[in-house]
Amino acid sequence: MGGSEEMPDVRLVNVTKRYGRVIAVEGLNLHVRDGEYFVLLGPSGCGKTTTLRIIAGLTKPDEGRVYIDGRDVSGIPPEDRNIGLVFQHFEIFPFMTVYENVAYSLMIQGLDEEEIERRVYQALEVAGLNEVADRYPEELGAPELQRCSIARALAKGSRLLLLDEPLGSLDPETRERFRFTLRSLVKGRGLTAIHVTHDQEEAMAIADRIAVFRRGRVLQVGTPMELYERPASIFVANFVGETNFLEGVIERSGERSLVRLRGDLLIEAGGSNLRAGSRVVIGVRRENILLEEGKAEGLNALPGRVIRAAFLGKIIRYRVELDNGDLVEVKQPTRLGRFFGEGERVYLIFPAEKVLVYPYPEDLRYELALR
Amino acid sequence: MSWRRLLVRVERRLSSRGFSLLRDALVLLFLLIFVVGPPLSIFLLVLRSWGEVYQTVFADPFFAQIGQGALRWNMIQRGLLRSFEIAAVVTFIDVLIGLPMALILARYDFRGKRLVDTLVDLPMAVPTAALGFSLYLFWGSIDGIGGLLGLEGGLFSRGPLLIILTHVAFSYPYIVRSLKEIIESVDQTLEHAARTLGAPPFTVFRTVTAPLIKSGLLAGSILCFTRSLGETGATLIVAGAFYTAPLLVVEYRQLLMIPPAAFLSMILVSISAFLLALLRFSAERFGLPIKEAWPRAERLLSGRAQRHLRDLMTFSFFVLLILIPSSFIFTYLIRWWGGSPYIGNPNLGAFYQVFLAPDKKWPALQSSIITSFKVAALATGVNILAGLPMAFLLVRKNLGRLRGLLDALVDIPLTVPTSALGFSFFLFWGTKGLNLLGPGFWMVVLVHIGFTYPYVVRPLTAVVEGLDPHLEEAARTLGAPPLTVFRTVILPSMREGILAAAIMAFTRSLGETGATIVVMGLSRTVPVLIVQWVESLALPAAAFACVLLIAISLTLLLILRYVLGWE
Repeated sequence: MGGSEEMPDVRLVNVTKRYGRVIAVEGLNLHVRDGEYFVLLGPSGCGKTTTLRIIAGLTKPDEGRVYIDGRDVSGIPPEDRNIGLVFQHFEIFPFMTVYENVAYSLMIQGLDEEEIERRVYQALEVAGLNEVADRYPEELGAPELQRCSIARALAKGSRLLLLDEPLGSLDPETRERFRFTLRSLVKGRGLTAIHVTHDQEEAMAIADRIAVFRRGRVLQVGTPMELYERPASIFVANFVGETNFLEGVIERSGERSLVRLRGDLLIEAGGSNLRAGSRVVIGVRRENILLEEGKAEGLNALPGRVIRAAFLGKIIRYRVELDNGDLVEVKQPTRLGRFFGEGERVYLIFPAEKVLVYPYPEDLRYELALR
Repeated sequence: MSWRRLLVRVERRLSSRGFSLLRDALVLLFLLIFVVGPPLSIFLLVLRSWGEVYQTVFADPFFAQIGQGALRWNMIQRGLLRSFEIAAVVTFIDVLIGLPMALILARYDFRGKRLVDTLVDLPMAVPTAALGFSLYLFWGSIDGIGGLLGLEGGLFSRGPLLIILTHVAFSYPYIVRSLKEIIESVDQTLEHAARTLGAPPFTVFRTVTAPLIKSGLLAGSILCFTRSLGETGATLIVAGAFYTAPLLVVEYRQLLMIPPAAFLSMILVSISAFLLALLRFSAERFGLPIKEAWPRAERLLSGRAQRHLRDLMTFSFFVLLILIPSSFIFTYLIRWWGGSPYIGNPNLGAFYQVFLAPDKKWPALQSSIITSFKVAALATGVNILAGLPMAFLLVRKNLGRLRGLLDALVDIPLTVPTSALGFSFFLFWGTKGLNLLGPGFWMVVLVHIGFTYPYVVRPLTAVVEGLDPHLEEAARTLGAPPLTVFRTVILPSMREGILAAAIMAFTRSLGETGATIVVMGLSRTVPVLIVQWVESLALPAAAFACVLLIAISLTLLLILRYVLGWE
């Protein structure tokens, strides 16, 4: 067995899976490093769960190979791949107690009673389930069942943990709290984790690196910061974080490019190697725009009129109609102390470095779709 | 190394592809030899001895002397015609009185609904011979309704009318059950929409509900028809001198006239196969047209008073035609327990006949109970072992078109008339076929294995379809090979389903008459004993045996209800 036993890495080479004429995953190449918390992110039907199942051995790829810790596991059944899998709907055995569920993998391995007890209680401790060891699943609520599911996978002792939408069945507050629990569990034990989710906020909060999936292909792999600051495509910019998109034409390219938007509004963007005259789509994150009464020196300033303002506690959401007719959404933190009412004239202020520039796509609607 | 680890190791080996292929092959082989082979082989056997068959059926030299060479062929034709006519009448009546009952049970809620629901199932719980006897006593003997009306004998004597009444009674629960299920599956909002569009309830039923349930109606009707066609046990008791096709098989068998019995059995198997195919393939294409509306008339028919009247009639039919006659045997036994209620002679009472008479009926009954239980236990046990992997094969393996064929093969024993089924087993295993067995206990066991097989496989298939595959995947990722997953996760999930299937098969086996008579040799099961005692006119003793058998079956079915909870 190659690589260190301690922290397995996972490699997918040219993996393809089709269901009839539908392509679930195509030409997938992925490398998850030792000890990484890696997230597969994308909308429903993008192939992320299929990918996870292929790694687990529950689905056989039509083409390509999977390497876990340097070992080609392509012909190896799930029970022999030494993985732990946490399912979206928990899949706790209903006819066994919590203890018996967590002990299941150890029972399969044929360990002594004492050893089993020790490891089960250790896992229960970590998952905070000591009180309910003798209860049956029907007596527990969703968060406890989820922790039981994690404890069961952890008790097995595998160094590779796969998680399929593990927080999907929980309510929003629990979900947020659990993110940290999950990450600290994984990091604390030095495991490698591959986590599937459609929730981009969850992915950003929990991952070391993220792979963004769409329609069976990986569009971009990077750290949360990389995905946020330098999204490689319109889809990624739209899916990860909230972005405004405006059509325009490159007026001048170079270290600082000039873009002419509709209605002859001009803004500066960062360096671009697109030629002058090319049609583009520019993107600005909603939180990177500041609303001001007047222009600001050295920064882009687009004039417009507030047509809707919604106070949401921490932030205020504005919808602004630019003078050229385009609509833009802005998020302002409340602590800035400024509030603009409907109908007021404002300037949208944002620096050139925060402007994302993309060549105008063949099908803009498709690019902007979130599926 | 713990035994657990060893067990898992063994299971890992046995989970390999080679073993699973072997297992599938064995399951299919079992189906072929023990279930489907005998009824299908009858074609081969008839063809092989065609000369003999032709002679005895179409050109018997003895009867040719009086110009009746084809006497037996005429008898066979007559028997078939009668069976068909009776089946058609029975189906018509059952749909007529069963459909409203199904509607009531599916749509209304009222106090005592659970009770009615259970009572509707009563004829299913009663073994057919006992049911037949009870109905005969009610309709055809002076102790029943005849005496109440002041007649000297029964209201109906043994013969076609009594057969019809009997078949109506025991097919009733089947029609009501299958219609109820299908009605429940209809989306009521469609009916509500029709109401808001101005259609009175009766029109809604005819134009909206009926088309939606037509496949269930057709399926239920074909099922009803098939059951009536194939019924033997109860018919034996109530037919008297009248004969139908399945009864003719029994008669030929008892007279050791093998060729005509084989010929007729072959015809019956063919008809059943045809009906089975009809059931499967034409259910969707049948249409109930008549798109017109007759609003005034149907509004009249939809009135509240009319509905109440209709409900009242439905219940009355149920009680008078089904419930009371089916349970009459209890009344009879109580009356005839200590002696004749007319002349007081204790020698004519059930107690005397069974326990005190010199012909030792009680020991015979005891040993027949033991035989019945042994047969049922063996048949059920074997079928659970063979049926479970078959259920998995049907559901989990990607069979494509083959699935339909396999499903049909599994169902064959359900549709073939029991006496013909029994006879085909008699030929298959006996001197004309593989020559491995003679009539007797073991042949009875084999026949029961054959005919309870679908009663085990069908419910098990439903259970397997309902299993959560993710649970099994979870177990796999925790390190368990497929066979260990089966033992530790799947079987515990299926516990109730397996028990339910076992109880159903066991109960069916207990009550089987027609096929058992054909192959029994010297062994006696309880239903067969009942038939014998009825034929020798020891009616009170027969009633006692019936009540005993009914009590056992009902207890088992109550356990079944308890195990399944209340749906």
